[in-house]
Amino acid sequence: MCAMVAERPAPIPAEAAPASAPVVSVDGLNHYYGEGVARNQVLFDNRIEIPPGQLVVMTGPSGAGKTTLLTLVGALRSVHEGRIAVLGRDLGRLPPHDLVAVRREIGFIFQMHNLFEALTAYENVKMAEQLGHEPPETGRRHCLELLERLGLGHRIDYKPRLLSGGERQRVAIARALVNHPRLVLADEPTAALDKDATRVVIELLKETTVAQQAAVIMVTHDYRIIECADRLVHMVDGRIVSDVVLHDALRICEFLRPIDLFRALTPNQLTHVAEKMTKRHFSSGETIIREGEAATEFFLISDGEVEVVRAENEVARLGRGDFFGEVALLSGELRNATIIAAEPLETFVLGKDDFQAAIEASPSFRDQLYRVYFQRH
Amino acid sequence: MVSLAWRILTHRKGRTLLALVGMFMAILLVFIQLGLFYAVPQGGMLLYDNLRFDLLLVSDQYEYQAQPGAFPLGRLDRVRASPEVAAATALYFGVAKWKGGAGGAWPDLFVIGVDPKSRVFLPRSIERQRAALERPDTILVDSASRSIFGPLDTGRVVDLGDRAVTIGGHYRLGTGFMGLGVALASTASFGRLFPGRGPGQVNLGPIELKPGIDPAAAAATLRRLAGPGTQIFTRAALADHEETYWTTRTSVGLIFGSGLLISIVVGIMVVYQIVSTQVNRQMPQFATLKAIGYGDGALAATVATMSLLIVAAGFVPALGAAAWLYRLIQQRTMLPVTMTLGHVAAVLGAALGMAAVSALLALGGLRRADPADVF
Amino acid sequence: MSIATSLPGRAALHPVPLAWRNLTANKRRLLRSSGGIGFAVLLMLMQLGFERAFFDSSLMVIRGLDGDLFVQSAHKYQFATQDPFPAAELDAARQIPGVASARPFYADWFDMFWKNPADGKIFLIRAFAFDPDQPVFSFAQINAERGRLKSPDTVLVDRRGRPFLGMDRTAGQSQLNGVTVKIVGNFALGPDFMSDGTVVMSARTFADVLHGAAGNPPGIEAGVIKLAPGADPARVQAALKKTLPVGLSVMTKDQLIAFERKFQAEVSSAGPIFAIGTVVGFVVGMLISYQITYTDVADQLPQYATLKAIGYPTLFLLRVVLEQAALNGLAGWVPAWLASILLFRVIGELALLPMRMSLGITLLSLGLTLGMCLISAAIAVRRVVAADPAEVF
Repeated sequence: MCAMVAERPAPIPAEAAPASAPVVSVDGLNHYYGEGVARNQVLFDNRIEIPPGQLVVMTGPSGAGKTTLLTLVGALRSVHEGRIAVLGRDLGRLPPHDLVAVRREIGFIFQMHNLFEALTAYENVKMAEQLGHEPPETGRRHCLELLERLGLGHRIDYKPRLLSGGERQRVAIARALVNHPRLVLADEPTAALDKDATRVVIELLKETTVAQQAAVIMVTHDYRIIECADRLVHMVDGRIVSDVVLHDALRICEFLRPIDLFRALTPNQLTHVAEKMTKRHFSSGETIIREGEAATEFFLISDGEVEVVRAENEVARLGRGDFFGEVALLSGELRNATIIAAEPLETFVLGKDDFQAAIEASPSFRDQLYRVYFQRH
Repeated sequence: MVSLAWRILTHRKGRTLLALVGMFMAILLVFIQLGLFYAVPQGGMLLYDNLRFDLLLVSDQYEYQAQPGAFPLGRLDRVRASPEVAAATALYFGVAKWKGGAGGAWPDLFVIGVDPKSRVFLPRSIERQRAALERPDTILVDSASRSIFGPLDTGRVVDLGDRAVTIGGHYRLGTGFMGLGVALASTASFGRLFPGRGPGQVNLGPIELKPGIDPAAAAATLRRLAGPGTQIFTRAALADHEETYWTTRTSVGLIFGSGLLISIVVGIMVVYQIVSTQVNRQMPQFATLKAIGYGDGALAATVATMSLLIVAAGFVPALGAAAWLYRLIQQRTMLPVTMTLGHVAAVLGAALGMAAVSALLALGGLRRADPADVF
Repeated sequence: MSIATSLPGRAALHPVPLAWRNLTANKRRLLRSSGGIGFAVLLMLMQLGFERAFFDSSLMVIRGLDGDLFVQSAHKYQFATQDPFPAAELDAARQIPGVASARPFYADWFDMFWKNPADGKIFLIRAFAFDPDQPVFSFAQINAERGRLKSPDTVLVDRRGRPFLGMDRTAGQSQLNGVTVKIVGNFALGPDFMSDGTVVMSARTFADVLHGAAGNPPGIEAGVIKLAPGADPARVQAALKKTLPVGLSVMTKDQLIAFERKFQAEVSSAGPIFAIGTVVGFVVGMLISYQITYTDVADQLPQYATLKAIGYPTLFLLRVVLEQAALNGLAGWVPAWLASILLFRVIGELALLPMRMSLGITLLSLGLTLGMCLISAAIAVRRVVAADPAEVF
């Protein structure tokens, strides 16, 4: 009966982007509503980069421009001024037809679940799934697995009318996640949910960020979600007024990302490395490594400078973004230099075993390290 | 209640406009089918509507106007002698070939023979052209005759049957069910056109009574005078007879009756759809009203008022459109589809009925409105 | 994964039939909407049926004449009008090569008065006559009983004539123009919009009844010509036209039917009346359908906008809405069509009209139904097309 298959715009090849490239990159973004005299600017010179794996919570008073920013990032509005790149594609330069294709790679969750009353939970999810490129059997399995994971395994044949508010929103979330999007946009997804339902939704979104390295941008005022956020973006009057990364691992990740040494890592590996690192502070003049000792740790300077001393002569100074301690770990010999903090110092430290694990996990990381190693010696 | 109903209706103008258009169409539909339903009997009454008479003397074989049977002239003479009677006219009907039709066709012309001196025809144009009618072998042609008769210019000479006749002038009465074309001839001309027909074979005998005479009472007296083989109709009885003939003896009643019936059902469906949609989309508001203490009665009154407002707003333009369409149909089909007070009243009644039924049905849903649903 | 393999089955592999689901989700609403559309369709079907019955009834006699070519007065503007010519004119026709037979057909629509044998009332009817040895009709019943017409003053009556005529086969005898005639059989033809009933007789009886025994032999209304096997109709027609006097025309059966149809279409009110009825049904149906689609679209606008947001092209939504409207139209058409078959039978019997469901009416009504639903949906769908997916946030 009336088979309907959406026309599938061919997926647009993303500009060759390394996996660690930001999912969303916004720069100098201005936006206006209205025309002519009635033209009213709602976004002012916004700038934000969101890497994979982050759960970003956007807060701010109503009218601050959160939803506008969300719809712009979601390729639901055309860009007026500035640049938005989503999943490596510059939205401002795409024709409308290609914007539709970009939207297919984004998961949308709305405050109102907007499920078709005439369709079952399964079919509502399938409506989104059939936009993907999976073979039908795989697609069906995805829908069912997802619904089951969301605790709706026994309700797949129920129509929205017979589902509770929480169940409906979970169906809507399944619809958003069924095609494994690398970007999820959510607007007050838990506004209509009770405590338990909210917890399930947050866990699921959190899991999506970790397991699929997806970025989630969520507009919410729900403090229960804010607690779980990796990053808090606060908007007032069309401007991002604060942008705080909440977890060390993420901050480390952010720190590692631009450093040459880590450039080759996949986001997953990067996150993994970052999670194993600990932050350690040293006061000015404190000795960090002593020549002749056994090597146990690898250090990365996040703030401050150190002196490298060999045979009681200062041979070099290292600063922010530099690392040390890798030589002995790679060669298995004793420390060949003493490192002393030249000023109050903040470092990220990786233990010997984790260092070895990282090297083994990523040949490119190892190569990079050896390249630096031979440059230094 | 009125103000609440009004607010509801004007709240979302798009939907209300849609409702009005729907109501307008439903009412127009009923108007058209009703107009057609009565058009045929009215077409059958066309000649009578243009004759000056109180009573009609016809043969007892009388079927309907175009198949009236015939009676001897002597019967009419007897009636004419009666003191109640101001005038009694003999009308003769005949059909003859008009040998001058368009494209070589010989269409049949329905000829009415009448004494030119009589004032039996209402159209003033006929009386004004009495002189022409009195000329031998001269006819007056109904200008509503179909184009198949070719040009009908005054002075044109055409063979009618076996005799050449001259068109002496025109009048407009309408051809009704008499034929494709109708003409008037003087009794003398008629006799020459139809030599087989003696003057004794009269088809219709319209009788005009003196002022103040009661037609029903006079009819009884005159029936005895006219004698067996004839009958006398009052105008009202004649109208009844003709309508009954068309609606029961022919397919007309069934054809247009079924159309009328279905159109009323369609009308009810449309109106119901409109009213129930209006009620349904206001359900939360109604539930709110219930929650704050309005009774079912007050809500019912609101719904009823809403229905009434929609009907009223739809009826007026529908009446105008129907009047216009009636004119159009009349021009296109030559059927006398005319707007009568009866039609207006009947359709208004039907529309109110449709709205009442729909409101009642929609109220069923309203009663289900649960005040607790507001939260 | 046990659920994945057991539920929801094979159907789940196909794309979700959204239009179908929308249509069937609410049975009450479906009943209401298909009922509304259905009655509008029924209105159209009845008008189309009446129009066809009108034309069919006026063509039944012509269609029932068993001939290839027909000779009649060139002055006729319709078949059912008096314009007789001498039967002897056909003698010349018989000489033309390719003519197998040329038979006289007598008819009268204006001067035949039938007496209802039950109540004695007199009515104008139509009468057809032929030589019982040279049958002109293809009606089986008339041909089966034509032998009995050889006795003088015998008639066959139309048992589908209007009841008030009393054309009852059991009546035995009645009067035509005052002449007593014996009813020796019957046939089923039915009235048309001019005549209430029909009597068939021999040419001799026809002459008796029309003029009394002393009258001149009556003229014929048509010559019914059959061609010899293999003869070229066009060539014979041309030869006949050349041979016969100018006052006579020669037409093939198709030409005669077209001639009659043209007259009915031009002169009678039936065409425009039923056309008006059909148009009104169409417009009302369109309105009902618009209301249905408009309401549905308005109710589901957020859902449609959501589909747009998650990457469905507008064309897909357009298709869903139009498909749903078409399905709605079908849901109204099917019951209306079935009901009209029944109504055609009932009204056909009551009104003695040849009301028959034809392929033409079926297809036309289906086309009109889909047309009205799709047009109205196309107007109503503008809201979906205009729906801004950014508004769903």
